[in-house]
Amino acid sequence: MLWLRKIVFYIFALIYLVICPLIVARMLGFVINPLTHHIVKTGLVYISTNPPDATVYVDGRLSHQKTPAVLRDLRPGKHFIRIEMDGYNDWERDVPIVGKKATVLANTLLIPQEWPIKKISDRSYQNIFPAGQDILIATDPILKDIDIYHSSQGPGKSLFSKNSIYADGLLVRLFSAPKSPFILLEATIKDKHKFLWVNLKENPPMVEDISDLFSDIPTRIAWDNADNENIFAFYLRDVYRINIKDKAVSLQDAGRLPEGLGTQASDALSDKFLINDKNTLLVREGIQIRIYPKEDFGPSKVYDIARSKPLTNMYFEEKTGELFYLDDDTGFLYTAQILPYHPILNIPIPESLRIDIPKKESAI
Amino acid sequence: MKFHYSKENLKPRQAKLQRSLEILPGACSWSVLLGLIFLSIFFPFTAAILIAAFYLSWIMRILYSTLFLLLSYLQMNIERNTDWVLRIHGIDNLPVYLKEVTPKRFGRHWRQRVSHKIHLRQLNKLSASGILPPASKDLYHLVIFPVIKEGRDILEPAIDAISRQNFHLKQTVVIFALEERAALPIQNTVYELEKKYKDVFFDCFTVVHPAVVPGEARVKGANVTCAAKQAAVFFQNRQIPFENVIISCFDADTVVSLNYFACLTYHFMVSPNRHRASFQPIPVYHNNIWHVPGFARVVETGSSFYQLIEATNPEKLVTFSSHSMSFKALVDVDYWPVDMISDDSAIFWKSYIHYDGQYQVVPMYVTLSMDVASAHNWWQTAYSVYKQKQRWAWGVENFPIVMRAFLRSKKIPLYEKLRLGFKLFEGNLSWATSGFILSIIGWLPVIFARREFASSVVYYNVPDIANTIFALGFFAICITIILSLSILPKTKIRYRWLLKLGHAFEWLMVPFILVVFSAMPALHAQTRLMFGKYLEFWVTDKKRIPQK
Repeated sequence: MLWLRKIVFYIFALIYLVICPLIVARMLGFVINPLTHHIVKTGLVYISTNPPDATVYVDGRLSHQKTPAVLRDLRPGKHFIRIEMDGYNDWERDVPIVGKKATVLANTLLIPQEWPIKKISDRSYQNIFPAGQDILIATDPILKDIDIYHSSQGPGKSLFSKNSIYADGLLVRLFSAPKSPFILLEATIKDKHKFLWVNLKENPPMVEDISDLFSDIPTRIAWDNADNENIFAFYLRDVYRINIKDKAVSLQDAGRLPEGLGTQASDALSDKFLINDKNTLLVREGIQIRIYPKEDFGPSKVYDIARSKPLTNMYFEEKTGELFYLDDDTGFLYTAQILPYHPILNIPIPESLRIDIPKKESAI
Repeated sequence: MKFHYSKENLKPRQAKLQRSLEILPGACSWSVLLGLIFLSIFFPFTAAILIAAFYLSWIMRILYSTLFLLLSYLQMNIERNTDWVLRIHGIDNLPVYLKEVTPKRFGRHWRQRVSHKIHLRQLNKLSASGILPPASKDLYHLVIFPVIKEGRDILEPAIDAISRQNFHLKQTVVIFALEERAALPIQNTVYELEKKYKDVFFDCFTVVHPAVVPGEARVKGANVTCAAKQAAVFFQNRQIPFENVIISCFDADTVVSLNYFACLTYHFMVSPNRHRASFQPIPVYHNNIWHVPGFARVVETGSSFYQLIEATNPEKLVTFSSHSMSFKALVDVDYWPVDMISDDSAIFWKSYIHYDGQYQVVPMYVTLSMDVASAHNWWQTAYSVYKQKQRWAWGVENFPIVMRAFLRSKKIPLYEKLRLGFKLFEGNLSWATSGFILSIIGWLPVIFARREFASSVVYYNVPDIANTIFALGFFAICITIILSLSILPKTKIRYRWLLKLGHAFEWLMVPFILVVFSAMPALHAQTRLMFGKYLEFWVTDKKRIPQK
């Protein structure tokens, strides 16, 4: 056994000594050119698409991998890559390859031949607001006509019943905070200026009149979505902390406001989104909703999706990849499926491959 | 070479050297781990290449070990039905026996033929050496069981297994090495067993080891040394030469297989250098294997397999756990170290140094079964297994002493010193680091990848290579699972196949086990040695469920 062990040991050691440098060289992208028998430096392309499972062609040859795919052993220079999928436009580019480097085409958005658009409401609205998890508030000047939609889950429900004392009030402004299950309605009810704090977690939603806590009409109201008790009212000179539970109002040092305060008032517009792992811009220009997919290796392309009512909000639901908007002609609520899949996030994409969005624009 | 095999009572210069060598294994293990983490964060490219090279070496080692595990398993099967007693009687009359058996085509089955061929080779070697053994009727077995907290449920099956041996019981002496500090019920049990088995063997008696002896640590080696010294007096009084005595130092839970002593006698007789050899059986942990949590089952099956693999390489084999050796050698080297925890491996190194490298371990393809460390609940068992592995890993305490001896010895060839020194060092280093690198650190370059690395070819190729290597590793694990299932003892419960299927799936815990019950205790032990926080002997918990 001992001699056998020695022989096998030396064989294995020899195999290791031969294979190890070969594998390291292979890892670094060095391969032997079968025609010239010379060692050549190669690069690779990583492609992932949204949606995945698309067919890939490299220089006209079908790759055995579907997306996401790692196409190895590509010699430096330009390679023509085409991605095909039924129901989507072909994606084709000349992609530059650099030796020992990986060219990353992460979350390449495939553009459908026809955008899947669905009508959700049979009536028109004045505007829409996101609130809480997957909740959309479609507003109308009269409070009883405000509806709540749980994104894509059937028709909306009225926020106020017709018998509610607030039903005939007129909406002035609506405040909501991302992922917060609360909204604040500023309304005129029987000629009185009112502030209504609405808890959307309850079914039916619980409405509380907190008008007494406001001495004047604030310019802005904000709250932290993790804090269910305190809201901050911004006046021209001062900021007040309002504790809704204790009904207490106190002056707040404006320099010591909690981080993460974020609200959207009905007088601020939301119509730009960075989607698809922040490499695609979804924006409304005029009344046209457009998409600018990431473009690194060719001229920029823009695709029209639909037309939206001007000066209204749009809402992009990241979980489902759906865009909610009010139709330009009818004011009805519509949804367009922009991202069929949640983008792959595990590959860190070099900053050079991201779309450069100016800071002001990215503050959605 | 006369060498003080201890870390105690050294001259200042030797003490300094000892301390430096104690620091070396832990420092190297930590350097490897922290170095790789540092490289993974700041130089992921270099780290990825080093890790890929390590992965490759690891898979080569796994495939190599699997091959010899298979061969060793085959050899164990080959020798399963060997009639050792017949062979022993043959060696008693070697010239006639050789003539008888040489021309014979022995047995119908290929296993018998292979076994016979190995037997013939051993006989020819013995005959050529001219160093014939004492007659089997003059050979005595001395068995020492150290006892401190083991009860009747543990001790009786062990001694009962010896009483059922197919070798002359009247040539066997059993000694209970009882610690004075053992609890009274344990002491009573020992004396009851002594009484019960006194007439079964040549003799059976108890030697009480005093609780405090100057110069001794509270370790097993001190206890069994005390017993062995008493045994020496016993044999001297009866004018039995030490050359005719084979000593087996067993853990209290050791249950030997039926033909253990016959097999041991054969190997002792057939080895020309029988007084410069230890005899290492294959330890299996079957006594309570179906009553312990799955992870413990996998850990101990892995330990058995490691010994099976090591058995194929006697040149590098070191004694482990329960084993046997010539009593003359034991007396010559002045018994076990009385201040070291790893007495089982230390006695090999002590003998190796004493005989200037002319000492070896003879593997025996016969099993002896022990208990898997077990306690009353899952966490306690996990703690016991961890502590036991830490104690095994404490074998690293031999490294500084052996290295000091190697530096001093002029008679041990340089090549041997380098070969064994490297094995000892590399074995400890790889024990403490491999599990971490394979299960955790190997992924760090990808996790900590920064932009420049994330856009390199290496970033995308490393996972691919790792996956291929792990697929090959899985193939090796599949073979291990099959062998594990075939080696496990039969259980008398219903749906046995379901239990075995469950055990097969338990092997999926290997990455977790590699870290928690292998690398971590080894690193813990090396770190303690590095900081001079010497381990105290910790008696492993053993628990058996009574058989109905």
